[in-house]
Amino acid sequence: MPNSINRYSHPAIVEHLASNYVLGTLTPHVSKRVDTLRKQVDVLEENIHFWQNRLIGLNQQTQAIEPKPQTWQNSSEQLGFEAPKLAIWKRLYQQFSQAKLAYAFAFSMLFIGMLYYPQLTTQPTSLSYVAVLTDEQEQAHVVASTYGENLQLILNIVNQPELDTDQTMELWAISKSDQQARSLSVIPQQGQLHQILLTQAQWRLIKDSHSLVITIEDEGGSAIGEPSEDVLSKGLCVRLQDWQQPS
Amino acid sequence: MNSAEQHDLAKQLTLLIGQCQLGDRQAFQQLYQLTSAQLNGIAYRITQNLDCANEVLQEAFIQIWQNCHQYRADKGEPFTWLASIVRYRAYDRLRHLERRQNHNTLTFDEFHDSPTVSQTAAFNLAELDKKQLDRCLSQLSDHHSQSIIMAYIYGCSRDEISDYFKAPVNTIKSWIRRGLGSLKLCLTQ
Repeated sequence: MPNSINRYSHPAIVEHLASNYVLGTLTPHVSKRVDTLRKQVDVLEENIHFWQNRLIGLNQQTQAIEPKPQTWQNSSEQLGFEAPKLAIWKRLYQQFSQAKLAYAFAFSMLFIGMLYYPQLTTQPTSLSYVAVLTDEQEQAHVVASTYGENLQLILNIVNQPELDTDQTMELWAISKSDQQARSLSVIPQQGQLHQILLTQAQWRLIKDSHSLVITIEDEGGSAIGEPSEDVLSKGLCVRLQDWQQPS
Repeated sequence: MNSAEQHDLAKQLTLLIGQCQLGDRQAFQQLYQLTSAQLNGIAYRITQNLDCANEVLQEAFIQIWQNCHQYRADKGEPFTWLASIVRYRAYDRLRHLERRQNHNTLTFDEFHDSPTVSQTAAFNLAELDKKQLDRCLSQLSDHHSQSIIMAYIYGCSRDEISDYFKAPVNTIKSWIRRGLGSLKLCLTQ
């Protein structure tokens, strides 16, 4: 059993996650994490069933409300049971996968960010590295980019996740050569666009990185220099070919 | 609905979910017809918006069809499984929209059984289980039980419960933790 799963087999943690999951009081991120974990950790799944089965009685006095006829129609169309009657533009729109849309949206946000925050984007050279970090649902979370070799990392937060006050997002570079994660920066909680000054060592990390990952850590960042298993988003780090300055 | 009818209905739902697992679309439609009004009521209670409730119901039934193989009859009643999917979708929707401007207008006293509320629920919990839940909830302090009910029935976040009680979020976390702990102890006795 991997360590990350072992952690979740601790009775107190399991009880907290299961009961608050059923109660709906976990943050969206932790709730999604439990969605995945419950399929892997039997005792967590058992606890979730316990609370579901016991608390269902609270729904007993809920009034039934007939749904709109369109609700069934929409469901069956989405499942492909019935051919949808859609306008051409809508069909074209649906041909894009969620991931493609996420990337397109993320790049649009990057472009808009450049327009509205010129002080952060007046770079002397062109884009050198870019990574679009997406969450488990393939939704764009952060666009990370560098320009030339000027030791600055621009982070554009496309979707601000909901974190507890004692939590922090931390950005990690995953090395191409040894696959180890090394911290690049803690991401400030407030604001959409961030400019992070890199050291030479951090710049080398980016040049050597296969991908970037953002995790949720305790306030202030990981105390042990390693990422937690609460991965918010990740994305390949793409090197753009034409930025290299002639030597 | 008496307990025999209740049992028959549960069996029927289990059978329909089983047929869905084999790809039977008619069974899926029948499942929808049997349960959608009740499930829509649950979604509405959390979202407090009819359009939103219908959207939640739509998403939930898509998930029910796609994940019907995950239903395990030995783990719980079929309606509990269906209702849980609807509730989780509704909670997601609420958290995503981060909206609920008028939660202060909701009444949070339903834990104290009101005989005037009409029981239109088609899927009643076994009377014994419901009595036990009521008894155990009544043993909690008012703040503990009300926090649990506000979260479960109305989808209130800790922040919203904190606003309602004018108490710090950490206090709410503590009320919920202690309330759930006592509730579990009572329910498993």
